[in-house]
Amino acid sequence: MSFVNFDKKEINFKIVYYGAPLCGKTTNLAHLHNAMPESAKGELTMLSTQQDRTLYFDFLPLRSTAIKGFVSRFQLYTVPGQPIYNKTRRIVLTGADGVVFVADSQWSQMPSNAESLKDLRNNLASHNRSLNEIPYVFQLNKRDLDDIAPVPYLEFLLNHEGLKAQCFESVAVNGDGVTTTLNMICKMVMADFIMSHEMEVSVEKETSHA
Amino acid sequence: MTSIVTEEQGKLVRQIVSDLLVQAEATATLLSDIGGNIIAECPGRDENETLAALAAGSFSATRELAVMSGETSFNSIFHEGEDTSLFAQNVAEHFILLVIFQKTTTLGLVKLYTRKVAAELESTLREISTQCVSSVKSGTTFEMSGVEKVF
Repeated sequence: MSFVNFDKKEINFKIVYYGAPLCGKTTNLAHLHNAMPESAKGELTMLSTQQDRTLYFDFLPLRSTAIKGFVSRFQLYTVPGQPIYNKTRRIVLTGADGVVFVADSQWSQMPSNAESLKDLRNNLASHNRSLNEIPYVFQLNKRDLDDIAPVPYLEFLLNHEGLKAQCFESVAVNGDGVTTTLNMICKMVMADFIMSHEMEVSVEKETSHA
Repeated sequence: MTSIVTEEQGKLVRQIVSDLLVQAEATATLLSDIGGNIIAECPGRDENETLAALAAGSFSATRELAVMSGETSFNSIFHEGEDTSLFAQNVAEHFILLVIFQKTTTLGLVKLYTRKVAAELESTLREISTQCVSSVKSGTTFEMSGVEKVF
């Protein structure tokens, strides 16, 4: 959950990159780490196995001045995609302010994408939350490969329930669409934070007038 | 709900965390919540943000281990290195007090002062974990700076 420190004039947000094994979550963070200016980024930390597969999470802290008078800190996490690490995914998802679901566009990966999205819904439910109440976007990755599903098919498969989320095409290995996805989820998370605060204030006013 | 720290609370915990550094003869002290959000740090360093995230991850994994071992939670963790060691204590359920120290001081001393400080912080941290912006900073408004791109 977002965290406001008036003493340090900082607001922290947590964004989780979720998706099937090898869909490109870590590649997103690696590209962002390379692309961001020094003043906007911290160290990229990867907790990986010897085979370079994510074991616990990857972590990249970013900062901006997008909210007036405060430093906005965005803590980007990935989850490990492999099925055996479900408990770890649930832990990393705790307190997420926004989610980027990275889908692998290859036809062969459609079952894994669908399974991972179901897993995301289940893990959010274990925290008494649902996708309908937190900002999220889809990133359709690996659009440069040959054997890929068309965008409308991916949208039909993944993005047909409830409110439709925004979809971004990407080729994370060369950075296409990576920053665009990040900018959108950051804006959505901040808008959600500001709106929740305004609602809180109006409820408080109503209660004090009653 | 958004968690918040007011200026007064921030000042108070900063002083306590800074005192702990001296008392325990430590290299660094850090207070964060279990989500890895830093509340106070001494000294301020770039790597603290990552340190807090890793400590939070470590505590979450430790909690799962505790549950699987039939415990509700393990309240502290200790990592011993050749020269540098790390002691982390859970405080008021939702917070972690992290102490990094060299072999020039002892684990006993670090534990003694960390637990004393944890007790001192308890009531303030319980306030922090239950308050929201509208109740303690009612006049505050948040506004985006109007930039097209965040990054």
